[in-house]
Amino acid sequence: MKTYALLLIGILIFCTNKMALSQCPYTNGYVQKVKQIDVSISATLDVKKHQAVCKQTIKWTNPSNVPVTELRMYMYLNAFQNLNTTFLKGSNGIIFGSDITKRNADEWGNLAIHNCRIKGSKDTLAWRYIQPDDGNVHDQSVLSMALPQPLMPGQTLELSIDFIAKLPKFIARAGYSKDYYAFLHWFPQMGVFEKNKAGNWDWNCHQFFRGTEFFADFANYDVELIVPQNMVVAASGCKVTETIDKKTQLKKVRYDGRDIIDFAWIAYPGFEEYTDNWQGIEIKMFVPQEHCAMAPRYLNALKNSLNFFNEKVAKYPYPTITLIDPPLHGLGSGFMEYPMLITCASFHYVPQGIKTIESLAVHEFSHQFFMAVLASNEKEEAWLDEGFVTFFEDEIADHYFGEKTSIFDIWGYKSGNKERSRLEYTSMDNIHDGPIARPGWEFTEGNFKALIYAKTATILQTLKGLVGEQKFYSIIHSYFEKHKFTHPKEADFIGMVKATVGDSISGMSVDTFFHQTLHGTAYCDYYLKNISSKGFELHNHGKLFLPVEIAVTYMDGSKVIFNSYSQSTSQFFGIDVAKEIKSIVIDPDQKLYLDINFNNNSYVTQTEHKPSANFGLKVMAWFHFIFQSLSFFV
Amino acid sequence: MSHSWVDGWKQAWTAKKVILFAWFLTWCTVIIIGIKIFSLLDKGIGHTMEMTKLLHGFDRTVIEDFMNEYKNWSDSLVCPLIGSALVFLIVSIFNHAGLIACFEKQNYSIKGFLKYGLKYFFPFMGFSILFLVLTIAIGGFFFFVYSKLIGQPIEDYDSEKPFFYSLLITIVLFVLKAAGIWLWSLKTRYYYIKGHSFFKSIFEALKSMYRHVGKSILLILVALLFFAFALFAQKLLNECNSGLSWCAMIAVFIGMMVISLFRYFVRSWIIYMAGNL
Repeated sequence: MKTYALLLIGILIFCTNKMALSQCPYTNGYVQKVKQIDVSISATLDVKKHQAVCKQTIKWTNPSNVPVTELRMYMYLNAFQNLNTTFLKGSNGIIFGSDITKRNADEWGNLAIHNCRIKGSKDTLAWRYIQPDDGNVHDQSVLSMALPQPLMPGQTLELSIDFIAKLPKFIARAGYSKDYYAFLHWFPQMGVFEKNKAGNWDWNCHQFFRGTEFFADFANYDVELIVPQNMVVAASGCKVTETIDKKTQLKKVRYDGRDIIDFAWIAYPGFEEYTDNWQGIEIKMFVPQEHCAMAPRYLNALKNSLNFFNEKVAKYPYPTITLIDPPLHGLGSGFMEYPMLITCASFHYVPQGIKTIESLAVHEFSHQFFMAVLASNEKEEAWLDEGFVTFFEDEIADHYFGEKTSIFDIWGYKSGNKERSRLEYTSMDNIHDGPIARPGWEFTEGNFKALIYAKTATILQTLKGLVGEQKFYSIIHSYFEKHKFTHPKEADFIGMVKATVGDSISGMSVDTFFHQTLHGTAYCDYYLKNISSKGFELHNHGKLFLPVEIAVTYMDGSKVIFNSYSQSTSQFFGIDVAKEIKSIVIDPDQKLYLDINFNNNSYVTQTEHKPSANFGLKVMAWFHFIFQSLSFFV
Repeated sequence: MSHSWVDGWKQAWTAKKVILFAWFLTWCTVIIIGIKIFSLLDKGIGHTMEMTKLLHGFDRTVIEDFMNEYKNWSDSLVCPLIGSALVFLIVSIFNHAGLIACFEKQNYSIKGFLKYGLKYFFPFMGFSILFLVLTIAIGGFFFFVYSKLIGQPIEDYDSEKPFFYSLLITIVLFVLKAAGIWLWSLKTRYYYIKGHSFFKSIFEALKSMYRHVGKSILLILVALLFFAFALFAQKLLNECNSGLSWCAMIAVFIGMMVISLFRYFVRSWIIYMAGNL
C-alpha cells in the first residue's frame, strides 16, 4: 500500500510538472532547431550576502568532427572582482561616471566554482583561468577545463557544477543595489565551439572587455530560482511554476527557456507587474511604482515593434517578452538585452514629447532578432548586432512616432531617430576613426557608439535607399529565415544581399560597397561646383563613391536625370544650353544617407529667403524673451 | 486693494508712450542676433533645396549639417550674443531708472524718461550689481543646501522622487526669493529717487517690504502667473508653421513682439505697484 501511495505521489508530481511546463507555449515552430546544450540551474538567493548559491548541470554535445579535450567557459561575473580585470583595467576606477575605487571588499563580485564533476565520476575536474585575448593574468573571465578523456564527435557530456554567484554592488549590468538584484551573465556558461577563420574547430570564448557584450550557443534552460517571499522575479523564458515552500517560507519560481543564448533574472520587491499580449505573445513589464506612468508607453513601443517585425521581417519567435524598468538605484542594469528579457530606463516624470523611453524599448526589443535569434558574435562583429538594432530602432520609432519627432518634439524643436543616427556619425570629431568591421575591444569609448551603432545604421539606410525598400526587407527577411538560431557572420549577410540583388547595385559591386563602408574609413560628401549654362561639375570631398542620381530641373518645368557611378573626384555633366536652370539636386530622394552633408547637394537659381528670415526672427524673439526674463535680476 | 491694482494698470496705461519707447529700445539690442542668423543661413545654404525644409520649422538635419560644414559658425554668433545680452541688461537698468522716476514724479514724457534714465543710471547700476550679487549668493546657498541634502550616491535612494520634487521645490523657492529681491530692489530705487541715501534706501525698502509682506508675496505670485502665461503664448506661436509665407511669418513675429510688449506693461504695472506698497 505504501509503495502504491508513493507511486501515486510520484505520478502526481510528474504530471503537475509536465502540465506546468506545457503552459509555456513554445509552439510556433521556430524553436527546437538546435539541441546542443541543456542547462539546468537551481539558484538560492542569499540577500544578506548578495549572492546566489547554485547547482548547475550542463549537457553539452560535441558538435564538431574532432575530439574535444578541453572545455571553455565564460566566468563574466569575475570581471567585477577587482580593478585589475580586463573589464575594469584602464578605467581609472570610473565606470559610467561613478567612482568604484573606494568600495568595501564585500561590494565586489565574483563567480566561484566549488565543485565540478562529470556525471558518473567522483573526481573533481581541474580548471584554470586563461586569458586568450590580452594575457592579463589578473583576469578570470574565461575558464579552461581539461577533460580526463577526449569527448568524441557527437558524444554528450554532463557536467555538475556547484558555484556561488556573488553580485557586486552595481558597476555595470550585473549587480545589486539595496534590495534590487540583477543576475546577468551570472553563471558558468559554455563558450562556443565553432570553426574559426582558418576553418578549424576551436573555442570562441573571449575575455570580458568593457566595450563588448556576450556570445554564446543556443541552449535549453530549466532554471529554479529560490528567493525570499516578498521578491518579484522576472527572468528569461516562461515562468512555469511559482510556489511557496511551507518549510522555508521561500518562494520557488521555475523558468523554462528554450533555444536561448543566455539566461538572466532580476529580483526586486518594488516591482509592479503589468501583463498584456500581442497576437498570442505574452508581454510582461516589471516597473517600479514610481515609474508606473511609463508602463503604457513601454507597452505601446513593444506592440509597435512586434507589429513592425511581423510585417517586415518575421514573427517574434518566442512566446513571451519581459521588459524591466529598474529603479533609480538599479539603473546600472538598464539599457541591456537578454533573450526574452530586456532592461530599459525611465524616470518618475518624462514629458510625452521626449520619446527616448519608447526608442530605448524599441532598441532593446530589436535585439531579440539581432542578438537572441540571429546570434552573431557581438565581440568580433558588433555591427551585426548593435548596428542592425539601431537601424531597426530608427525604422520603427520613425514609423510610429514620426520621422522627425521620434526622439523629441518640444516647443517646435524636434528630432527623429534616423537623422540622429546619421548625425551622430557625420558629427564625429574624426570621421576616419577606424573601420566598423573589427573586434569590439579595438574601439574607444569615444568612437564606439558613433561607428558601431550610428554608422552601421546609416550604411543600412543607404543600402535600403539604393536597392529599394521592398528588396531591402526581402534581404533582411531571407537573412533572418536562413540564419535564425545560428551565428551568422558578415559573409552571410553580404551573401544574402547578393542572392537578392545580384553582384552589383546601380553599377557598384556589392563587395565594393561593403568593403568601403565596413572595412574602410572613407566618407562620402558629394557637392556641386562650377555651375554654368553649359553644365556643372560633381565633386566628392571624400573618397567613398556611391551610385548617384542628379536631377536637373529647368525653368520651363522639364527635368533631366543623370545617373553616375564613378571613382573620380570630379565629373562634368553637360546640360541643355538653350534652357535656363531652375535647380540641380544630387541624390534628390536622399538615398545616400552616408553623404555627410546634404546641404551642399543642391543648387537653386532663385534663393529662398523666407526660411532664413523665419528662423532669424524666431531666434531673435526667443533671445528677447530670455533677456527680458534675465533683466528681472537687474 | 483691488482699487490700487486697477489704479496701477491705469498708471501703466498713462505711461504707455514711455513703456513703448523703453520696450522698443530693448528690441534694438537684439536685432543684431536676428540679422546675424539670417545672414549666416542665407549665405551658407540660401541657394540650396535643403533650405526649403526650414519653411516647415526647425529641421535638425539641415541645422546640424550646416553647423558641421561651417565649424566656426559659433564664433560669429557668440560675440553678438554676449554683446546683445550685455547691452540689453544695461538698457534695462536705464529703462528701470527712467520708468521708476516717471512713476514717482508723475511725468510720462519721453524726454522726462530719458532725463531720469540718465540721471539715475549709475546709482541704479550700483543697486543692480548689489542685488544681483545678493541673488546669486542666496541662490548659491539654496543649491548648496540642496546638493548637501541630495548629493549622496544614487544607490542610496530608493527612487528619484526625492531628487525630482526637492529640485522642483528648490527652483520654486529660488524663483520666489529672486522675485522678492527684485521687488525689494524696485522699492529701494523709489526711496533713492525720493532722496534717501544709497544704503538708507535699501534698509527703508526692506522695512517697507516687511510691513507689506502679504501684499508683496501676492504681487510676486501675480507677476509669475503673468510670466507663465507669456511663456505659454510664446511657445504656441513658436510652434506655428509660419515659414510658408511672408505674411504668416510677420504675423507670428508681431505676435511674439506683442507678448513681449504685454510683459513690459505687466512689468511697468509691478514697478508702479512696488512703489505704492
